[in-house]
Amino acid sequence: MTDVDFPNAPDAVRGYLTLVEKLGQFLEKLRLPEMGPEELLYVQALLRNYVVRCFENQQEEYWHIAVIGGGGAGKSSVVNILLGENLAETNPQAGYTRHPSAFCQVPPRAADFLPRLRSVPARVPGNVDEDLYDLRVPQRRLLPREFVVWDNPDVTTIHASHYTHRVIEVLGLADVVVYVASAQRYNDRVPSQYLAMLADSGKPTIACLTKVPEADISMVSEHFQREVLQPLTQQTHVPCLVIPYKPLEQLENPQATEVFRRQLLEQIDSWLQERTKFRQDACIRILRYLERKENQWQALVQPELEALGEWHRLVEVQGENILDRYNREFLSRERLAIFDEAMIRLLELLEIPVLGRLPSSVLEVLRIPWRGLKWLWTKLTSDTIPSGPLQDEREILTRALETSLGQLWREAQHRQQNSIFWQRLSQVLDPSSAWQRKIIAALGEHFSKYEGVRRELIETIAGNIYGSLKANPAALNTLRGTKLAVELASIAGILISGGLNLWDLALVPLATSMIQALTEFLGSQYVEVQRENARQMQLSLVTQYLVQPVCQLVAHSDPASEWQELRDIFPKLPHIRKFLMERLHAPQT
Amino acid sequence: MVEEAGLIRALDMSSSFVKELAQQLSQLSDRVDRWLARKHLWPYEERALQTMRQFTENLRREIVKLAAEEVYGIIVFLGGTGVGKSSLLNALAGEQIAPVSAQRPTTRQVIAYVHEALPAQILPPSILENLVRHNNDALRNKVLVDAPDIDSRETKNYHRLRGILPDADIILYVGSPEKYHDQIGWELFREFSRHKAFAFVLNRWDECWNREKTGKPPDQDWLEDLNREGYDQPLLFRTSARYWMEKREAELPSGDQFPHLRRWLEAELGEKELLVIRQTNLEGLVKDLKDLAMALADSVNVSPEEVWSAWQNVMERDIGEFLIRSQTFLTEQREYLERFLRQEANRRIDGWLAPLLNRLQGGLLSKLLLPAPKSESYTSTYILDLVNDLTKRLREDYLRNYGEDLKIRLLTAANERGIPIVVLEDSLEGVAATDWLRFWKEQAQGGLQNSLETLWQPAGWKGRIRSVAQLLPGRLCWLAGLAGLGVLMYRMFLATAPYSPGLWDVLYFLMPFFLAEALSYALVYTLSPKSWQAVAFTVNERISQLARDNFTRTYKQVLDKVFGQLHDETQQLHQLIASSEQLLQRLKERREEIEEVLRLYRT
Repeated sequence: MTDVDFPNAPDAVRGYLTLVEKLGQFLEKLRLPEMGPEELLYVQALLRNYVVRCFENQQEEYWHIAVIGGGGAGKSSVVNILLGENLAETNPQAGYTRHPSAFCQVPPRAADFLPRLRSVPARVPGNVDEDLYDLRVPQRRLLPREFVVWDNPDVTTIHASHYTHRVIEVLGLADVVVYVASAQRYNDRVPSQYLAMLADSGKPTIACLTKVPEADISMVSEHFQREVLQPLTQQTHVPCLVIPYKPLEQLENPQATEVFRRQLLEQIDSWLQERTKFRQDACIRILRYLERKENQWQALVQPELEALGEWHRLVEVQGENILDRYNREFLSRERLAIFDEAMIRLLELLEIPVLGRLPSSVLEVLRIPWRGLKWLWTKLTSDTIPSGPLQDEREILTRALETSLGQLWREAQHRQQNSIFWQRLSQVLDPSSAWQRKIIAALGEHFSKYEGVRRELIETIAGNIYGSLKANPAALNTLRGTKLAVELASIAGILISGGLNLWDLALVPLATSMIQALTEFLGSQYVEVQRENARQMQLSLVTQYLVQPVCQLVAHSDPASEWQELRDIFPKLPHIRKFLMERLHAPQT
Repeated sequence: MVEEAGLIRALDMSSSFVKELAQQLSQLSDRVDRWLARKHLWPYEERALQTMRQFTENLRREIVKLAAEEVYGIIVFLGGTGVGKSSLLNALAGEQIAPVSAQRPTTRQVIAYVHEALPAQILPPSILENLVRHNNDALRNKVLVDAPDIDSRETKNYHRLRGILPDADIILYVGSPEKYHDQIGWELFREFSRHKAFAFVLNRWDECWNREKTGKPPDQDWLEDLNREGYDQPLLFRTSARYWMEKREAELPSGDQFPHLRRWLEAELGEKELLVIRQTNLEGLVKDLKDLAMALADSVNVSPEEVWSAWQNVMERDIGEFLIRSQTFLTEQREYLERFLRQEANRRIDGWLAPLLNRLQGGLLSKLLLPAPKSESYTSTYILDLVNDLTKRLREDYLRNYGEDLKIRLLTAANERGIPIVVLEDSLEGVAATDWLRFWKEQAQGGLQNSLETLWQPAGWKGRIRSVAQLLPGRLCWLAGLAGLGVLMYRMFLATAPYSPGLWDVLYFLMPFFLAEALSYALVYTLSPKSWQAVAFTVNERISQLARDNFTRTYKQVLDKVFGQLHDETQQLHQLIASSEQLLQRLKERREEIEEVLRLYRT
C-alpha cells in the first residue's frame, strides 16, 4: 500500500477533485486558447458524480443513461423512444430546453443524483434557465426500475454557454451515454468534441443517428462511422444505431419505435451484465483518462511554471544585489566606533591597578616619547582622513530595495509576452500600484527589529574583547604580570649592562616605548579580528532579518503565491490517482 | 421616375462621384497602411492593430468592386452544414449546379452563379474558383455564391468562408430548424453585421411546419433573436428549397416563401438598391475604422509636463542623495578644508605680512599643514584633488551602478504618469551609458570652485567691511610708519625743545609700521571666512544648482524628442480620422434611404 494522507478512497477522490477544481479556476484565469472549459468541468463531474459514488457504494441501485446532442438533433425523441412514452418535451424551437430532466421509476428518497444541481420532484418547463433538474416518473414502466434516463439541453445554440455545465454534470454521472446526431449534424464540430471527450474517458457510448432519410441510410451511416466515429473514438468501440427520418405522428407512436427501443436496451444490457465489474472497469478507464489529462495540463501550464522558477531566480539575484550594495556603501566603511573604545579599555586593563599604580605611572611618564612620535607619525602619513559611510544605513537599504524592485518590474515587463504570469506580475509590480509601498514599509518594520538585535550583538562582541579577560582573573593577571615583568626586566637590563650613565635617559624610554608599541600592536590586531568578525555578523543579520524576509515577501506575493499553489498541485495528482488505482485492483471485500 | 433615373445616373459607376469616392477610399486605406507600417513608439494593443489591418484589407476589396465598370452585388450564402445552401442555389438556378448530398459536409468549394455578360476580371478573386454562367437577365447584376459550411469538423471550410465574406455585399444567412441560431454562425453574423447587409432564409421549412404542434416555431424564435440584435424588421424567407429543386411544388408545405426570395433577388434588388447597400456597407466600415483610430489615438494619453515634473522629482531626490554623501565626505575632511580656507585667506590678503606668514608655513611645516599656495591655479588644483578623492570614494560607493539605477528610476517615474516602459526605454539607453562619475565630479568641482570663489566676494555686512578693510594691509603700515617718522622729525627739528634721537627712537618709526600691518592683517583675517560650517551651505547650493541645470539640459531633450515622435504618431491618426469623417460626410450627402434596404441592417 502506498502511504497516502487519505483514510479512505472516497476522501482521496474528493481530494483529487479539490485539486482539479483549483486547477480549473486557475486555467480559467489563464484563458488558454488551446483549451475550452468543458474538459475540466467534465473531469470534475466524473470525479464528483461517478468515481466517488463507485467507491462509496459498490451496490449502487441506480443506473444512469444520459442522452446528449446538438440543437434539434432529436434528443427528446430518443428519450421518448427509450421510455416508450411521450414524456420528454419535444419542442420545435432549437435550444429550448435549458436544464436536464431525469426519468426515474423509483425516485430516490433523500439522496440527490447531482450535488451541483438542485433536484425538483415535479415537471419544470424546459426553458427554465437554472441550475436544476426535474425528476419525473414514467407511467409505462417499460425500463428496468433501476434505470434513470436523462434528457439534456443541446450543446450548440447561442444560449448553450449558459447551460453546458449542467449537461456536463449529467455526463459525469452517466453509466451509459446516448449520443444523438442528426443527419444534418453528424459531422458538426461542437457536438463531435463532446463525443471525442466521452470516448477518450472510456464512457460507454451509443451513437444514435437520427432523421436520416430512408434512401440515404446506408450511405450516411457508413460515412458517419468512417469519418466521425472511427477517428474520434479510438479508445473505445461506439456502436451506432440509425433512426430514419419519420413524420411526427410515427415518431410519437411507441409501437412504431419499439424496435429502436429494443435495440438500445439490448446494447445497454450487454454492457451491464456484470454490473460491479462494469463500474470498476469504468473507474479504471476514468483513472487512465485522468493520467493522460494530467500530462496534458502540465504541458499546458509548463511555461507558467517555468516563469515562476525564473521569477524566484530573479528575486534571489536582486537579494544578492541589495546585500552587495549594503556591503559596499555601508558596511565596508562602517568603523564600528565601539571597538575603538574597547581597544582603550583593553589597554587600560593591562595596566596593574591599585598596587601597581606606582610602576605604571612611572612607565606612563617614560612612554611620553612614544606618544609624541605616534602623534607625529599619524599627522605625517595620513593625507586624507579615512572616510566612514556617506549615507544612513536605513536609507541605503531602502534605496537599494527600491532599485531592485524597479529592476524586477522591468524584467517582468520585458517578459510580458511570454506568459500570463509575467503579465499579471508586471501589473502587480507597477510602480504606481500600492504593492511597492507595501514592500518598502515591510522593510521599515523589519528594520527596527534588526536594529535592536544588531546593537545588542555588536555590544556583546565588543564587550567580550575585555570582558572575557576580566572574567578570567588568572589569565588577566598573568598577562599584566608578564608585561610588567618584561618592562622592568628591560629597564633593569639596560641599567645593569651599561651602568648608570646619560645614555640611560634615552634608552630606558626607548625600551618601554617599544614594549608599549608591541602591546598596542598585538591588542589592535586582536580588536581588528573581532571588528571584522562583528562586521560579518552584522552582514548575516541584515541577510537574516531584512533581506531574506523582504525577498520572501516579494517572491511569494500575489501572482507568485497562486502559481506556487498550481505547481504544488501536479505532484499530488498522480500520487492520489495511483492510490485509487491500487484500491480498484485490490480484491473486493 | 425622372428623378429616380437622375439619381441612378448620379450614382453611376462612371460618374465623378464614384471615381472621387474610390480615390478618397484608396487614399484613406493608403494612409492607414502607412500608419500601420511605421514603427510605433507607443505599444498599441496588438489586437486593435490586427483589426485595423483587417479593415484596410476589406476597404481595398470594396475599392476593387467600386472600380469595376458595372454595378453588381455579391450575395454570399452563410450557414451550417446540411441547412440546404446548395439546394437553395440549385432551386434558384432551376438546375443542379451545386452538389447536393446527404453526406456532411457536402460543399467544400466556392460556387459562384454569374451572368454570362459579367466579365470575370471585375469579380473579386476569392469567388472565382468555380464560376457557373447563366443567362437569366433578371440576375444580370447579382452574383450568388454558395460557400462551404461554417460548423463541420472540417475547419478549413470555415476559414475559407471567412475569406469570402469581406467581398460580399449581402450575406444571406441560411438556417434550418435545427441550426438557425447555432453559436458559430451567430458569432460570424454579429461580427459581419456591422459592415454587411444581412437577409435571412429559414430553409427546410417543411420540417418545421411538420412539427409545429407545441411551443414556439423556429421562425418566430429566430425573428425574436434578430429583434434583440437590433433588426426591427429583418428580411426572413421561409423556404423549402428541396421541393423547388426537385420540382415537387405540388407537395409544398403552406407558408413557403421561396417565390418571395426569388422575386426579391431578381426584381426588387435593383441597381439602385445595390448601390445604396454598397454605400451603407462602406459607411459602416469607414465608421468602424474611424472609431478604431479614435480609440487608438485616445490610448496615447500622456502629458509631457506631468512626466517632466515626475522626472524633476527624481532629479531632486538624486541631487539630495549626492549632497548628503558629498557633505558627509567634506565634513570628514573638515580639518583639511579649514586649513585650506585659512591659507586662502592669507593668500588673498595684501601687504607684506600675509605672504611672509605663508612663506613661513611653506618651509618646515609644509608637510604638517598644507603646501603653501604658489600660484593662482592653486585653488583649482586643491579642489581637483579634493573632488578626485570624493569621486574615487563614490565610485566604490553608490555611483558604480548609478546609470542603470537612474534609468530605472526615470522609467518608473514616467510609468506612474502613464508611459509604458517600452516608449522610453530606448531613448534612455544613453542614461545608462553616460559617464555619471564624470558628471557628478564636474558638478562637485564646479560647485566647490564657484562657491569658494564667491566666498571672498564682498557680500553681506561682513564682506563689505572686509572689502574695505582689504585696502589696509600693506598701505596702512606705510601711513603709520610715515606718521611715526613725522612725529620723530617734528621732535628732532621743529619741537621747541631740541631733541637728539637715540637708537630706541627708531621705534617711533618701526613700531607704528609693524603694528599697523599686524592690526590690519588681523582685522581682515578675522573677517575672512574660515569655518567649514559657513561654507557648507553655499557649496550645496551651488552644486545642486549646477546639477539641476545640466540635468535639465540633457533630459528635457530626451523627453521632447520622445513626445515629438508620439505627437507625430497620433497626428497621423488624427489626420486619418479627419479624412474618414470627410468621407462619411460625403457618403451621407449622397445616401438614399430605401426602406427595403434599411431592413437589411441593424438599427
